[in-house]
Amino acid sequence: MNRHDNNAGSMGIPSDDGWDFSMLLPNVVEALPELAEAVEMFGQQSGWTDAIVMQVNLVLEELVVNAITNGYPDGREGHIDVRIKTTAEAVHIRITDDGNAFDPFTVAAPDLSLAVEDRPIGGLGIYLVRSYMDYCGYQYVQQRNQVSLTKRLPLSV
Amino acid sequence: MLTISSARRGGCLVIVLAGRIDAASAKQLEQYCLEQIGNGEIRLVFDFAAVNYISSAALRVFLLVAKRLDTLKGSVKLSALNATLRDVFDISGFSKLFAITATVEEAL
Repeated sequence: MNRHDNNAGSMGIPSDDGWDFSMLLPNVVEALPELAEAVEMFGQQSGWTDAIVMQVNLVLEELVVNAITNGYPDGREGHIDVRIKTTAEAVHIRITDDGNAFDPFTVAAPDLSLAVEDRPIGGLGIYLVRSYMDYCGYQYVQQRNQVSLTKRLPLSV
Repeated sequence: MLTISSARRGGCLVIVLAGRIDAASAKQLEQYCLEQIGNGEIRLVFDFAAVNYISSAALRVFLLVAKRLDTLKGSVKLSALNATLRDVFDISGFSKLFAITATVEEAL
């Protein structure tokens, strides 16, 4: 199975397993702007609204940052594979990484009722992911974390 | 890419943001804000008109700034957010924590 084809240059070109967008990132936050730019271009070509482009990028950032922060505590180099498939009805996303096993959806939801002084710094990323996506799934397969997401698109009239 | 500039207006420091506030640029914003607060600017107004992207990394910075200004009896206002950005603040409950205005003028 050739799930990790190391082909960062295949952005926007359907790969052999049916994804429309594919990008392989190093496990550093500095890679995020390049991902965002590529996703924005892909989204515009796919007819997404500006809101959908931003929400998809936000979700990708939260999960990639989460993978970087939790997956490589020893500071080793790693890779995060981002794939997207889009149809008229939905956006499907799969994020795979070679970090330590970690299910992001076990993170407790933040208490939104707290005042400024009591609100903890952080902890909102996964909450935003859940809010913007209609399906969030996690699996640990073949020593890799795999997050699967679906966002239904509003039907255009 | 995030560009930050600021100008004093009517007793406030208006901080104009342009571009993306993400995990890669949030630290730059945090340092800028803490430096301004350190210089005695405790009434901050953020102008979001030219911001096209925020994530939880941005929320983290604004909460940090709000906490700091809370203890200094200062204020922080957020202005000119587009609907998509405003939605992020609404979902995370931050709309209740911050004064949000349609324009910078209203915040002054």
